[in-house]
Amino acid sequence: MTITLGISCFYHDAAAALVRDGEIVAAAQEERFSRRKGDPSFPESAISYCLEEARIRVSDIDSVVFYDRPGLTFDRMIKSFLSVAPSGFKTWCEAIPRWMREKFHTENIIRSGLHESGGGDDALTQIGYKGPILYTPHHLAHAAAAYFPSPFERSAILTIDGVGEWATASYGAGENGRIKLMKEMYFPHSLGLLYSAITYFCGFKVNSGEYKLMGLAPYGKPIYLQTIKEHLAQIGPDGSISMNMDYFDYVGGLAMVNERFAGLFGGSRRLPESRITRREMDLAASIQMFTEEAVLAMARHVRKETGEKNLCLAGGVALNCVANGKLYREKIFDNIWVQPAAGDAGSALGAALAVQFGHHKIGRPANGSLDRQKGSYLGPSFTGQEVEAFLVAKGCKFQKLDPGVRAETVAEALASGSVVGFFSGRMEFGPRSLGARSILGDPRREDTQRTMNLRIKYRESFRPFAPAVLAEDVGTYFDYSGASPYMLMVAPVREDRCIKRTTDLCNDDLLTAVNQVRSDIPAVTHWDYSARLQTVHAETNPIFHDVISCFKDKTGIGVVVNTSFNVRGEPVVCSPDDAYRCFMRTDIDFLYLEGYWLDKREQPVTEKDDSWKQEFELD
Amino acid sequence: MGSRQEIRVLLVQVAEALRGYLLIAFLAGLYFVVLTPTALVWRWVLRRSLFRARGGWIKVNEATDTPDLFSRSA
Repeated sequence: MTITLGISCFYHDAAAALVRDGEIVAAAQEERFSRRKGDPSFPESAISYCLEEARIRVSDIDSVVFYDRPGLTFDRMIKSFLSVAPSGFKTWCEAIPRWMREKFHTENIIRSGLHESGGGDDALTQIGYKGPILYTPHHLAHAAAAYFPSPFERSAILTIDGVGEWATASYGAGENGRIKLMKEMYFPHSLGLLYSAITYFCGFKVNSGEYKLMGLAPYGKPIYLQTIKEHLAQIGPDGSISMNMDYFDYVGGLAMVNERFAGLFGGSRRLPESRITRREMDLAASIQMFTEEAVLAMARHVRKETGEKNLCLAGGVALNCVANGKLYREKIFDNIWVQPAAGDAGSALGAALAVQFGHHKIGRPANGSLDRQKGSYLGPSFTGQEVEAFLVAKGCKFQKLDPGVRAETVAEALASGSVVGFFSGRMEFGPRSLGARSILGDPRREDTQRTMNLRIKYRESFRPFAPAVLAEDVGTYFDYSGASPYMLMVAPVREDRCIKRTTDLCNDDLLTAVNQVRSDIPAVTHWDYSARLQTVHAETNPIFHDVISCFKDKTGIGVVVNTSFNVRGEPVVCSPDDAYRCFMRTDIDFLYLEGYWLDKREQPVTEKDDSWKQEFELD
Repeated sequence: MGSRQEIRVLLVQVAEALRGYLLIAFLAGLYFVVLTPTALVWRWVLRRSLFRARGGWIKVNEATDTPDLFSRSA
């Protein structure tokens, strides 16, 4: 038996993953335990959880692997300063102390962290980890996270992110359990950083606001596409990116872009939380179109170079599900598989898999249809007894549902227009909620999007919601016939279900646009008649599948709204305590908690106090 | 007793501030005295800078399918 622990941390979204004999046992992001969004610190709690899930001790681990090579990252940083000095001093003052505190001591921090984590009790704490600390190249970790859990025996691999060590993108091929990376693109030329730069300029947060920019894009027109191509970045025929660094500040500055960049787009950046104007919508549309062109060009090149029919995707840019949808429809590859934790959190898993198959040489049988990601339900779960003990201690009023009526009860509430917090089974690994820690709603109602955005999630009203659809019914609602279990594909809503818009968006009035009914499932139909869909499979999440089936029996629609169980700026809930707190602070009507049913109206009255909103920094 | 405690707190605050200033002075020395002249020479003599680097796909020089790959920290 060979056990490997993968760790990613010190940049953003720290995580840990445990792999035993090639099988993914557990994986979780640290933010879910620390309740600090994108927490970059050493993932002590996530490691403890992984050990607990595997029922092992620290001393049972054969190898520990870090997702990046700090030496190469330091080399890039120093060369960045050599390129900008004497300017760049402020960034230097921020970066060097951090390196002195953490990154120079990666190995020591891991060893002492493993000593302290230890698996929970004092006897284990004293054992510690004596084996090797291994390091994997950053993009190899991404590539491994994409290829090894995929259902393919052989496949092309494409990874695209902001930057990791020197690389910003890479491609290669996986065959018979071995990965061979062929080519890389180097910093500062980065599709991910270009997207982040425009995210920053539009007033959203880098490393989390990219998703908002993607959601904003359909409201705009790509009028800046030519400006981007002429001044900021060019796409080569092979999909490679060449950036004009005269407009960017990220090599040595604290900001992503400089004043010349602002000059191109008619003024300074939008201030966070200020009104979104036509300029931001058009910029979003333009960079989205640029990204899609670049991803398609890269994919064509990779197909030509590798000759493979399947493609595995990872890296932060692979979370751009609109580009993924285009890639799917272009049919450059016969099959595409995207790692659901495509960002750096998933690199913990990728690093562990790379070491299992590349270093320990464990065999990897591919089954060709089902993947090895287990629906990405790789996080902690709670038993009925644990939940009941919590509810009793909290003094909650609840009802224990018989297994036969659970799905029925949730579906009934949804069909009557209620919003349900749904907590079931193991927590998801990755940024998307897939029916284990979700808030569910009725997609038929015109006001669902607005209500859920403003009164439950406390987030921007324009942001779309995703449909969770029965896998067998996906073609009934969407122009899509494949599987999308990880909510990583955007597809058009079928034309016969769409309702033609009465007005076009001719000013900045996003709210009016949001309120327009666009199909018979308006809550999950975006402005451009697209939807970011999740196909729900009975094999990976039978309870969630049952809920949607019951909802279909009642309403004739096999789709529900599925959004992450959290409020803006808060990490997705992990424990029953987190879920109950979120339930009580928002306008969620009912809470399904691992077979227990809570009605908001019956809960102990709490004093109306909105100060908790300060707990979470807005993303 | 109270005033002794206050003095101790004050001294700690002064020491922390001093440590902060010393760190900035050290970083400034490193940056402006060591790194900046090196950077100027590097950019002028070698004509190298990240701003001059070109985009494009570059061959991965290191084999990514060998077991010993993971033992290297840089």
